[in-house]
Amino acid sequence: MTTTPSTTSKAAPDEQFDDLTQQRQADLMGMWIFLATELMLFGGIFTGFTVYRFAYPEVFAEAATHLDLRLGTLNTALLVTSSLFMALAERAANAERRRLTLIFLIVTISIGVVFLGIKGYEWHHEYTENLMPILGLEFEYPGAHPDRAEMFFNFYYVLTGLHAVHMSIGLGMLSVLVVFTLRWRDPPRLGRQIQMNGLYWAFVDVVWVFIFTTLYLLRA
Amino acid sequence: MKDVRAPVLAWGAYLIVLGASVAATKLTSGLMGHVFSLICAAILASLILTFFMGLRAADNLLRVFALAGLMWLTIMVVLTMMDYVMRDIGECPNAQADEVATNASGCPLDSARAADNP
Repeated sequence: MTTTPSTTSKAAPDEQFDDLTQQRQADLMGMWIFLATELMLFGGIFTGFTVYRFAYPEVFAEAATHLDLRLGTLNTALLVTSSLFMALAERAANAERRRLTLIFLIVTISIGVVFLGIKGYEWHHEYTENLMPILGLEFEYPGAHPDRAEMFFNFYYVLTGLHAVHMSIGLGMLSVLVVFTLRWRDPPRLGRQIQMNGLYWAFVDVVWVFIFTTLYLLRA
Repeated sequence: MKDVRAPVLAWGAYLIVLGASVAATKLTSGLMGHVFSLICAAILASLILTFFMGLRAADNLLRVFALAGLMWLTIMVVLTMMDYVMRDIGECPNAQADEVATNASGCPLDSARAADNP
């Protein structure tokens, strides 16, 4: 592992802060408030899902069996692995190890892309099974109460679609961080930026845990 | 680099709990399996919040903000579900004849509720 010495470190805070500790606390507080608003966004959908899961328990449990549990489990393991590498990237940046930071960020992005690829494969499989009741596509459910099962799949596509949008945004931000790491102009600042993005990335992971559990695991 | 061991151990623990949750889904069915899966989800989320989102080393004010989000979500889910749990929605296995007063879900209203909702 190569340590690249920082020759351009600027340990001074931005002008509106007294010191770096205050600045970091303000960064963290702002990010957590933002994540709380994201929680409300997903929370509303989860609340709606809970209502219908309570109303039609048998149909929703049966509909869940049409999802691919193996791919869902693989994606869950992949996402937490990407969160691990993100956490390692944050530590590498704080230790001002440029090359290691770069490697960890690229691994995080790669795993995220694989996650989206598997999700896309799943969607395509469900499309071929006529289980995609969106955009006016034909919906042919083989079990009982197809109208209620359609509700399940509507929640499935809204939740996984919204999650994929958040993943894509996260991948875009991580790509920008890769560019910043290549430039390596202000390592302390980069460390803070990676920490904030790491919070977002881990939050996306937390949301996926509940998507995976409620959609894939609560099955008949 | 310092403090690498904790996130790696958390990652290992996460995979073990995930495996247990999936195994329980395959081996059991019904309410017990679902409750176990939800408990596992809470453990997985706690691992991420604690070790990958830094709540372990965060100051108390930040922890309060993090918990406030969860509290609002809990209030929303619980208060919403209180309404639905207290009245008939969803499946109506003992459906009555058409002349019986029914609610929007087609479920029969009892006399007290029918009086309240003429």
